[in-house]
Amino acid sequence: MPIDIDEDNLKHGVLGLVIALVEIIKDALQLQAMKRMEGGSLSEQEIERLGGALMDLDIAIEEIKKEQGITESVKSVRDGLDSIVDEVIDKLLNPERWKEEAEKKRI
Amino acid sequence: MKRIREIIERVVRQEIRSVLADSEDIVKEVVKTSLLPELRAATRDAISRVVEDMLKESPEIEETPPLSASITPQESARIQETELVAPPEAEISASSEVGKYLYCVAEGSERISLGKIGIEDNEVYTIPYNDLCAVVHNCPAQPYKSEDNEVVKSWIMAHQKVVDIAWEKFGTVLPLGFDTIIQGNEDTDPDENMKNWLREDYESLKEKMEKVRGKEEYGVQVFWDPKVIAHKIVQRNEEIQKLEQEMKSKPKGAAYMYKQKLEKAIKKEMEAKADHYFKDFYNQIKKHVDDLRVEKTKEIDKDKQMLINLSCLVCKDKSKELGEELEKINKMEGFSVRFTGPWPSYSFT
Repeated sequence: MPIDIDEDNLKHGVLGLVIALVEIIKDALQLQAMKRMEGGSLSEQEIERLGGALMDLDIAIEEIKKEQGITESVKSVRDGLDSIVDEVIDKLLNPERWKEEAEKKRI
Repeated sequence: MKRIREIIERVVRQEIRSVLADSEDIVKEVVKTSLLPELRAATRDAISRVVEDMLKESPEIEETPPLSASITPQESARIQETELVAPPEAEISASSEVGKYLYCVAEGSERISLGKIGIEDNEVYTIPYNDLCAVVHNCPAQPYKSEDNEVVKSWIMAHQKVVDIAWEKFGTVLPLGFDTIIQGNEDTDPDENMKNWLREDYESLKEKMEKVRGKEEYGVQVFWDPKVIAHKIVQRNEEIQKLEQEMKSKPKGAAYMYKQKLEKAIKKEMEAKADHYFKDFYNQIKKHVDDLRVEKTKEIDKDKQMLINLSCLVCKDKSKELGEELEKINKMEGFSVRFTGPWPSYSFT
């Protein structure tokens, strides 16, 4: 059996995964910041500081993605995660799925 | 930045090392099976050459040649071994033609051949029961499987072609999915099993046949260009315009936050619009079709989002109406429609 250790491939895989995770954390931070801003608990200065920090992070991530040519692999990691989460939520919320699952187990 | 890079580099290096460690056994195996024999042969050649040279120079060490000869029996045994591995393949394929690959069920009571038009040029023929017949080819009892996407694609194309030809020939067909294989068992041969299946499901097959008689399937997909739609939303929505104004008046950092807020508002509005259009188009199309099924939407590209994906069962004489209705949608700004078919009724059987 031939083993295919492609250096590029590996880089895309691992780096893509790392950056995808960083992106997700950034999104979560952004969501929190947005909630606080809309809730009115932040001063103008605080909004400016928070916005600036998030923007810098955003730019840094985009730069790394472009530099390393991993935009696609980051996207595919995130799409994959999205569809997994979709599936889990669908299973939790949809009684029809519970039935399907139960039937599958019986077989 | 620099710190992230260092961390990433370290992770990548670790990963490479662990992959190498994991595959150590495989590397050893490869070396053992493919390199070692050659290495041995090369060494033997080298030894015999040296020995010959020595013989020419000094005839007194004449007793050494047996050393090189003694290795040969082993070598020839190994060759025999490798030759023995190959043949059985032919036996398997000859003895396992015990399945029937099923393309579709059609109306007809005769056993006829459609020629060698099947998957991998197998002969396709019909197995009749009463006034129904199964369109099949003889195949091994295992499903068609391949790692190669191109191969699978060619099989599926062949499958569709056979169903199309049967559709043309018999008028009404119930197509089956790719890789439907009926096996024989110990006391019934697959031919008999096929007939049993037609007999058992006769009622429901006939019912389905009636449902799709004189009808054809069409694929309808409606797309929109998110940029055009978003632009329209911004133009029409005062609240969003207000947000945009506010954003422009803020310093850099806060503007970034406002931009996120703006994008979120547009996205929400677009989702509401998508829902609205989905219902509209669904009802519009429903008027002209016999039955329709909502399929999963797929992602095409950035400028073209699939809004609705339908399989429609349409009476043959009504397809023009449907086409005209779709043309109306196609003319709306930012929208486009893909209308494919007619196909045999894959999605309704």
